Amino acid sequence: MSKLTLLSDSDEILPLVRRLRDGIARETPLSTLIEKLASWGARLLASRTGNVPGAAYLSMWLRRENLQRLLEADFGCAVSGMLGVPSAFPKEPMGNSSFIKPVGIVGHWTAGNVDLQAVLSGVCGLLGGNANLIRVPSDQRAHIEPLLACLAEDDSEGALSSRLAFISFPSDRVDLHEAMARHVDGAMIWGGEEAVRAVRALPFPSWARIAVFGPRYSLALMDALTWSNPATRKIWCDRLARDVWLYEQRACSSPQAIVLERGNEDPREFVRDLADSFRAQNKRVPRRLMEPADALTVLKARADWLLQAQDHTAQMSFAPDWTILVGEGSALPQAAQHRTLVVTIVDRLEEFVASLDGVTQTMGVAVADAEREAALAEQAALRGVDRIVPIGQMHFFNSPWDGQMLVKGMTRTISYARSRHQQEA
Amino acid sequence: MNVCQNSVSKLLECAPFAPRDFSHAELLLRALREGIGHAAKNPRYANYIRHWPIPLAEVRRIADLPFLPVAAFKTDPPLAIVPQENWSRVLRSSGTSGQIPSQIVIDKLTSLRMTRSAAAIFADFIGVSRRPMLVIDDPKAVGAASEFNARGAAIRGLLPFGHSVTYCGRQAGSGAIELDLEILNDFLRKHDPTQPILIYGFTYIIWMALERLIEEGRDLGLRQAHVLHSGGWKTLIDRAVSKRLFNQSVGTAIGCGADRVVDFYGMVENVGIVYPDCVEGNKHPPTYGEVVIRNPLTLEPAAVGETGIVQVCSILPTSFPGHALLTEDLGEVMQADHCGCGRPGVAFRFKGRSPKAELRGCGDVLARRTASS
Repeated sequence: MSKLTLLSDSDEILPLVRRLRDGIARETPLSTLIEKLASWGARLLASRTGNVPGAAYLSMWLRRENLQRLLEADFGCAVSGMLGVPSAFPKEPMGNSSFIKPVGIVGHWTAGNVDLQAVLSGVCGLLGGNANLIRVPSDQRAHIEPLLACLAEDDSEGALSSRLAFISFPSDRVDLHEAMARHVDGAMIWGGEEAVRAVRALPFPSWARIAVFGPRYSLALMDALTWSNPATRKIWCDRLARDVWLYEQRACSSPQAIVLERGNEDPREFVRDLADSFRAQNKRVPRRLMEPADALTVLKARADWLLQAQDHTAQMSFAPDWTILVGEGSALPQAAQHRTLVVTIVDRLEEFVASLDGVTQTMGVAVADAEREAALAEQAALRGVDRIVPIGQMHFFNSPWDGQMLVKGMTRTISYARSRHQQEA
Repeated sequence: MNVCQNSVSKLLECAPFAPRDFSHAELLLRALREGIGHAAKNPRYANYIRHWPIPLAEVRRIADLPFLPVAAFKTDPPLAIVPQENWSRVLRSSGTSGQIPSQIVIDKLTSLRMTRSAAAIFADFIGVSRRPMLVIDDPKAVGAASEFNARGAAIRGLLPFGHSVTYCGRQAGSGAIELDLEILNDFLRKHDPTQPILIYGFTYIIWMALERLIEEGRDLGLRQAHVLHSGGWKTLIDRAVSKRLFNQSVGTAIGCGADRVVDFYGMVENVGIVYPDCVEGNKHPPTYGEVVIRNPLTLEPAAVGETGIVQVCSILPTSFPGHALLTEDLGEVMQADHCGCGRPGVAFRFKGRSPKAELRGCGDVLARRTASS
C-alpha cells in the first residue's frame, strides 16, 4: 500500500502494524529491494514528480550503485553475500557464526525542515530488512504523496510497499505519537532539540533500538592557500553558496559559518567573491515566501552582529534574502539560518579545530595540502566532528551519518552457536 | 547642541495631525536623517549605519532610512547615545516571561519632547482639559522615578490630562489586578459623573478588573468619561474577547458607551508617540513620526490591503537610536491617505504580534546552547 495514511485515531495504527509484520515475514532478497528502489528512482525522474523539491536528488540517491555504496559503508565486504542471500543462516562448517537480521518495525520521526527525509530515512530502514512506520510532517504531505503514487505504479507485487507505511498526523497529537512508539522495535529520530527530546520520551518498548540524528551544528573551513587563489576561490564560493541555500540552512549539515585562515591576501577579496556567489545563487533559487518572524530573525542577526563590535562587517541584500557577517574570533557563531553565513577569520585552522566539540556534525573543508587536511580531519574527529567532507558536498546523505551506521544501526547481529558439530549429528 | 533641533522644533510646533504636504515630508525626512546621523555618535550604531545598503546622505525617502529591529534594545548595558551622567531614566518594556526586556535610555531633552508629543496626540482625541483621572491598576505599577516599565510610562504620559489621580486596582495574591471597590466608590462619590473623567488601564487589566461588573450588568454612570487603554490583545484574544466586545462591554459598564473607549498602541522603544484608534477604527502616525508597513519578503513598503511588519519612525529621541525601528508587530495598510476621520497620512490597523521565530530543524542546536549559557 503505497499511499499516505492520515491518522486520526490511535486504533488505526494496529492494522498498519499487522501489515508491516506480515511484510517482514515474507523475506525479500536484498538484491530485489535494491532493484525495486532503483526502478522507483528512475521512474521519479520520468514522471511528473519532477516538480517535487529534491526529486532529482532522490532519484540519483536511489541509483543501484549508490545504494550498494551505502551498504558497503555499513557492512563492508559482507554486502556481496547479503546481496545473494540476505538472511539465510550461513552454512559454515564452524560451530559458531553470526548473521544479520532486521530489528523489526522501525518508526521514523523526521524533521520538518528536510523535505525528503521521510523517504531517505525509510529507505535506510528498508535496506536493513526492516518494515517501516514513517511519520510525515503535515507540511510535507504534498511533497511525499506524488512520490508514493509513483512507487505504487512500480511496485504492484508490494516488495517495497509491504514494508513501508507512511502516516501523517498533527505534531501535537501525543496519543498518536505514543501509539506509534509502542509498536516499533527501533526508531530513527531526526530533528531539533525540542522535537528530539519529546520523541525520546515516548513509551518505546524496552528493547527498542533508538538512533537520534540531530540537533547538530555544521561549518566550513578554508585554508589561506585555497582562498588566496582567485581562480579556485570562486569555485569554492559557488559550492559554499549551494550548501548554504539547500534546506534554508535548517539541516544539521547546513554550514552556519565558514572559518577562514588568515593569509597574505585581503580577506575582503574572499568576502566579495562569496557575496557574488550568494547573489547569483539567490537569482537561481529566489525565495518565494518569507514569514515575518523569519525576516525579523535575519534582521536581528544583522543588527546584533554589527552592533556587537566596531570591527564586525557585513555584506547583505536589502531584503532578507542573504547575509554574510564577517569578523574575527574563535567561538562558534550562533546559527541564524535563512541564508545567513558568518565568516570567522582565524590565525590558524588547527587552533580553531582544537576548540570544537561534539556539537559539530559536519565540517566542510577546502584545504590545499592533502596531508594538512587529513591532520585537521583527524583532530576534528577526535573533538567530536562526525563528517569531514569537501565544501559543496555537505548535504550528501550517506552512511555513516552523525557517527552512526544508517542501515546497520537498525539491524541486529545474531550470534548462533550450534549445539553439536556436524560429525556428531 | 543637537544638530537636528531646528527641524524637530519646527515639527513639534505643528499640530499633531497637520497636513502631510511636501514641506512636511521634507522636514520629517531631514529630521529623521539628522537624528540618525546624531545617533551615530555611538560607535556600535555607527557601524550598523555604515553597512546599510543605502548611504544615509543619499536617502531620499523615509522608507529607505536605516531601521533597527526593536530587539536590538534588549541589551545590557542599554544602547545609548548619551553618556550615563545624562541619563534621566531607563524605560523597560513589559516583555513576556523569560525574555530580556528592552532598555530605553531617556535624557532630559527626549523626556521633554516625548511629554509634549504624547500630550498633543492625546489632546487630538480627548481634548485638552485636565479632568479627574482614574487608573485601573496598582499604584506600584508606575515604578520608581528613575526606572519604570511600559505600564508606568503610559500612566505618566497621561498625567497632563488628569488631576486627583486615583488608583483603583490592587494586586491580588495571584498577581492579577483586582478592583478595589472601596476606592472606586469613594472616587464616584467625590466626582460629578456628568463631567469629563479620564480612565486608563492596560487592556487586559481593565477587562479582568471590570469582568464582574460587566457580568452583573452594572453601569457606573460616567457618561462623559473617556476610557483609554493600551498594552496589546494577546491575553484577551486567548479568552476570545474581541475589540468590539471589549468596547461595548467596558463602555456599558463605565456608562460612557463604546465610542469613548479608545485603544491606543505605544511601545517604550517609540516613547512619546502613541497611536489611538480613530473613529474609523484606524491608527495614524502623527506629525512627529511615520509608519511604514513592510512586506517581509522584500522589506519594501506594503500596498493598501497588505499585511506586513510595522516600522515606526520618531523625531523625538536624543538619547537612544530610536528614529526608525522595525517592531515585531504586524499591521495592515487600510488607506494610503484620506481616512474618514480626517487625519492625514497612512491609515493602518494592528494585526497582532508576529508569531515567535523559531530556529527549526536539526540545525537548531547552537542558538539554544548559546542562549542558555
